[in-house]
Amino acid sequence: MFASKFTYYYKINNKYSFMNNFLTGAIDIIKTKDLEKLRANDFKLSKKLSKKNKNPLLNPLIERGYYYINENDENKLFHELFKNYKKKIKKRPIKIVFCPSYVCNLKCTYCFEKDLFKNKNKFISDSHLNFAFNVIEKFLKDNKKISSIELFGGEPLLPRSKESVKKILNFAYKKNIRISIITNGVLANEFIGILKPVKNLIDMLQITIDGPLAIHDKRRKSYSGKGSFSQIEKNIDLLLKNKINTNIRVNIDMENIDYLPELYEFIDKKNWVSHPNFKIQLSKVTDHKNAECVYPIVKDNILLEKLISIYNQNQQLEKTFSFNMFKPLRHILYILNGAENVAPRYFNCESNLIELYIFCPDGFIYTCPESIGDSNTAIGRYYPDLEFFENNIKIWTDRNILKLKECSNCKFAPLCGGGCPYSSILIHKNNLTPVCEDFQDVLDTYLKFRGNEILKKYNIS
Amino acid sequence: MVNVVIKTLKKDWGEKLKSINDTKKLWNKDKKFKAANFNTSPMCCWFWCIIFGWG
Repeated sequence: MFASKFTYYYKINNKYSFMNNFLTGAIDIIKTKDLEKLRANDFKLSKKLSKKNKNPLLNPLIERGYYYINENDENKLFHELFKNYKKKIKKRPIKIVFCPSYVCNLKCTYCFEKDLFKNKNKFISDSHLNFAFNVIEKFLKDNKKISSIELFGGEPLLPRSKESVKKILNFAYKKNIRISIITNGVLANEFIGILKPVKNLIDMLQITIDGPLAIHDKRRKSYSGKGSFSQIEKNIDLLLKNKINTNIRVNIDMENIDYLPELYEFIDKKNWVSHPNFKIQLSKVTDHKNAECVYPIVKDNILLEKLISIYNQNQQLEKTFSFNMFKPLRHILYILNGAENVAPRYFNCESNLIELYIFCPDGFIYTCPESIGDSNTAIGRYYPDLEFFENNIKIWTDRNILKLKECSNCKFAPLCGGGCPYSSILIHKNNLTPVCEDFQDVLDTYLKFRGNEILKKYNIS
Repeated sequence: MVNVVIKTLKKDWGEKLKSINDTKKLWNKDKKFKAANFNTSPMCCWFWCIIFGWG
């Protein structure tokens, strides 16, 4: 019998332990004494397991992918799943993203696009748009499924972009394609007239609020130093009054995490929390250019422990915000919330599958939202003519956990997917270095503080 | 709505392993994926936190 190399264990208490296999997705609770015997190889595990073996523990362990009868069984399964995974993902829809402008009207302290406005092409022109629409028409003729059209930036909702935004929304409306808009929300009021006619297609306007007024305005202010909170507050009221789906994103680091309770109190008093068109999510502030954490960015397990201590004071905050911003926990949360299972990840993200086509003012098509403006990473050009750069496409598609040498011995590989490809390019100057997140520490921290809750949820005592 | 599923263990499994999810629903006997969320779930850190909430 051979143990899977993708199994994670955590002792919740003296009686029960948590087991999770990242290839099969199995999550189980096992008695701690049984786990200790198992790990000490004390079940007299034999290489030839008879079909008649009635050991009440070994059969489910094999069925659920924690153990294998033959040495190469797991490796064969791993490769076979990868082959089928690649076939299945070809059926996933693509997402079109328009970046109407490289310019922004805010100067946020942690912005990763600080130099974007220096690009000589700052706004998407009418000709650019027409060429982009032709490319999308070609995708549709080629039977590509398009799940949504998204507006991104810079800042997409600027006065100078209004005509472009109107044309893009009209295009989405004619093609009956869902719409999302990532915006700072400061000038959303000036776009209400063109948003209302397409509101039934709008999945969300995502607007960032980083805390109560004093905290938000320290981080997200205009070039003149003026805060943006009050204007955003009015605009969210207006969007919700018009029943336009609005999603607040809170970018969290150690500078603002303590103000979450105050922010929650604010949005609750505004009656936003209970509004049917309102949602709110937390997201970590990240710096993909740096391998080390620079304060106020800290290691994930430290941020998680801080968040747990805040949630312990106020359970409503945990129900509202959850722990989804931590990638190592999403599969557990997904399953605890009722999903049947979660597929292993052989890739980190959509950029590895070229599922995003981002049309930018510089005439290039990008596939990673963080890389826009860096034309060395563009996957093609749409203006003044359509051309795809096969070598650049390979930079993104050649990256998976089978190709990353260091991932071959990592138990977290099918959960992780190898980490951010753009970080690999920026930090390591190549596309084949894993960019690891602290999976062990984050999982351990979560189960240390919430493991007993999982036992209670499943009436295990 | 949270769907709390308590797995009933087969008699010969005893009480040794309590499964939280059903791995048989992830792929069929030919190892072809059949997970319902496979074709739509986002992967990028950007889009996960955006879309997960609308789920």
